[in-house]
Amino acid sequence: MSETATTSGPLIHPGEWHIHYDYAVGDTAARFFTELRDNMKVYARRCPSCGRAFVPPRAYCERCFVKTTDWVEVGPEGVVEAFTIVYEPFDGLPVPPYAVAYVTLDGASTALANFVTGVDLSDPEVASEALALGSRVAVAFAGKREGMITDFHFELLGHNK
Amino acid sequence: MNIQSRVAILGGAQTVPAACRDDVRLEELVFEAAEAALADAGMERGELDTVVMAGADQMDGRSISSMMTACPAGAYLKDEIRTTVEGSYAAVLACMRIMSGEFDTALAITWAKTSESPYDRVSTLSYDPFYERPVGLSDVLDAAAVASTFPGSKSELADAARSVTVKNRANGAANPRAFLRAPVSRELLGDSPYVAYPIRRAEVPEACDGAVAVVLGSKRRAESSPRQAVWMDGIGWATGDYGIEAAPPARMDTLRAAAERAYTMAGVTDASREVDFAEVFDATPYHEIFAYEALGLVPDGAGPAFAVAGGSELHGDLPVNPSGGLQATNLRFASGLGRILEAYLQLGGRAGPVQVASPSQGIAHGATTFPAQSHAVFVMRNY
Ligand SMILES: [Zn+2]
Repeated sequence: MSETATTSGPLIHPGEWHIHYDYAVGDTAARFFTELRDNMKVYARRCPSCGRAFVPPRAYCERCFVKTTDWVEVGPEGVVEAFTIVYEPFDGLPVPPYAVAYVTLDGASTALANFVTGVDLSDPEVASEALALGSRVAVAFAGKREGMITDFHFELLGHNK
Repeated sequence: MNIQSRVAILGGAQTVPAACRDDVRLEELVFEAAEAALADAGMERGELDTVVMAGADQMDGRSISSMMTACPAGAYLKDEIRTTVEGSYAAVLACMRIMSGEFDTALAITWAKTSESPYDRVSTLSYDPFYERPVGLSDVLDAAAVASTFPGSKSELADAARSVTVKNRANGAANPRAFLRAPVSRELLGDSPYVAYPIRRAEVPEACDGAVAVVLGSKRRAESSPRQAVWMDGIGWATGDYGIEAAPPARMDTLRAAAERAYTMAGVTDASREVDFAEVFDATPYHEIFAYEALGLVPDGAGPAFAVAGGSELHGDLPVNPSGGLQATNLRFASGLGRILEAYLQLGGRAGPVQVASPSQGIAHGATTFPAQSHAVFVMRNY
């Protein structure tokens, strides 16, 4: 007589990946974050070859394949290049609705994503008109800054059309 | 399409290895190596046809990390591909792409920035979740278990392991490109506590941050290269079982299969006589001893005696790891391409204080750390 092991369904072994990383931001981005935190300024890094000003700053230009050299202050205003308005909750993120936009700050060549305030988001259609591509926004700094990208957000400047 | 018979290395570079490169983010480290390798080859990014990367997401802490590293590696608006096997596989893949006739030039690149990650924990995550993780298997435990299967005298093997570490650390001390620049004594190694028997703490090299890149080209491209071309005339690679099989793992059957293919392709019939030096994967000194035998540099069973007698020393009969190997520069995951770069520098007469005497043919060997499951072997020539 042999006994056969039985199960009452698929056998699942639980698992979890918990890995703590210490991401080095590097000297270039460290300068950017320090300027945000200490001086409430947004700095871009310029390519000496093509002249583009990168925000977030990059230590190199991947097109010209040279090191970038100079810092240039950009903003504080800029223009919406792309946006969305979030209506469903996502793990670890703000209670919806909230708006996120890619903004090219004045003087910059690349766009930077951040939250946008100053828009009534209750009606998606109306809100999307207010955030239409080309809308002007301004950088608004948080009172308590930690050297993170969330040290600031964008504030809609109202219709400019 | 025109199948290319020969592929050459046209230049290469490694960033200065350091315990922690927190002055740069990962992409900047990658750019440093790519820019330096192109400069070494006397090439512009515009002349590159393809970029081949080797990277491991769980170590990089970024999923599909090549999304971030492709452009700093030179791939903007170009063909690129990434392998998640060890660094030497970037060279395997780059060679194949050039041999296909579709690409004239390639940059192969890999990186290690393990100062950012808890390596032992990450290493454990490569293991089977049902049978191995709960037992705590990791790279070093597996290396130790593999070492226990060597069919010879344990004390002779341990003694040979000490010879290998002393040799590699001495070579590293002389090599300006190495990370650990201090030699170690046999006594220090003998006093070092065990991490996992038979491996002692001082036999597990401290890891470092760095990136390695080599520029490869077709025969046609090599003819117009400003530097001496080094030919990748034999390439072989193989993957073994996931786990420990009945055959003693210390035999490294997978490495034997890879070497046989590389030797057949290059027409090497007796590596022990035809090869001038070898750069091999030595995550522990035991790996190097097993590689002597599996690569056919010495007969089976003769590995330990060869190490003790000094045959693999810088000025020995057949220098192995004149660079100091991983024992001196442990770029985890990236060290195979490091072996290729060091072999390339040797064959171009550019190895500096660790130059072996006028070599014409050398071997580079890369492997994954997990019980050395995958191996790649390259026969490289300067003629
Ligand atoms: Zn540029």
